[in-house]
Amino acid sequence: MISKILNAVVALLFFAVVAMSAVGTDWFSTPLTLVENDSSGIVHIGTMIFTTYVVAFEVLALVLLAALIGGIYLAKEDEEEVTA
Amino acid sequence: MIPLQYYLLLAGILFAIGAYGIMTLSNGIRLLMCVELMLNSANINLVAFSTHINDASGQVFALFSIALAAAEAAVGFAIILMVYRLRAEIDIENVNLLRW
Repeated sequence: MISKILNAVVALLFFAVVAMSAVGTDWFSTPLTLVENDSSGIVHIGTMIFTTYVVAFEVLALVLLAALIGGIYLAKEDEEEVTA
Repeated sequence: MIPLQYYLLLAGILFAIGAYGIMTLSNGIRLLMCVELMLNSANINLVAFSTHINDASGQVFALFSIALAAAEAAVGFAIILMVYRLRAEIDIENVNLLRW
């Protein structure tokens, strides 16, 4: 019980540090004019994935494949090898 | 438009909740859930700053981060499944295979 209170105090102190730094920092404010070539559009994101970050995208595909194979291998039942 | 500070405060709250859960938990499933909370707070930061500086790179990074979180969750649940088969429990206080 004491350790839970201590953990809550640690988490609250961490949040206090983050909150003070987030509020206290003077973030520069961009005017954010809405132009026709809006960079927050989903079309622009898709274009960036398949042009600028296409190497990271392919590496991510390999990582997902490796995680899939590893997950299936770890979760596989071992009894099939006994019967086979 | 919502100011940037609110997004950062939300991300900080989510990260603090996740850290508190990781420090106090004794269940393997809760560990993965809290890790997901912390990852998603980082994603909120990425998207908030990406919108703030009007550059879509941060949102692409957030998409990559979400995909990596999916891979991490798959491997983590497989490891927890193996621990359950070995020990018939997922209480991580008693799983001391990798501890000194």
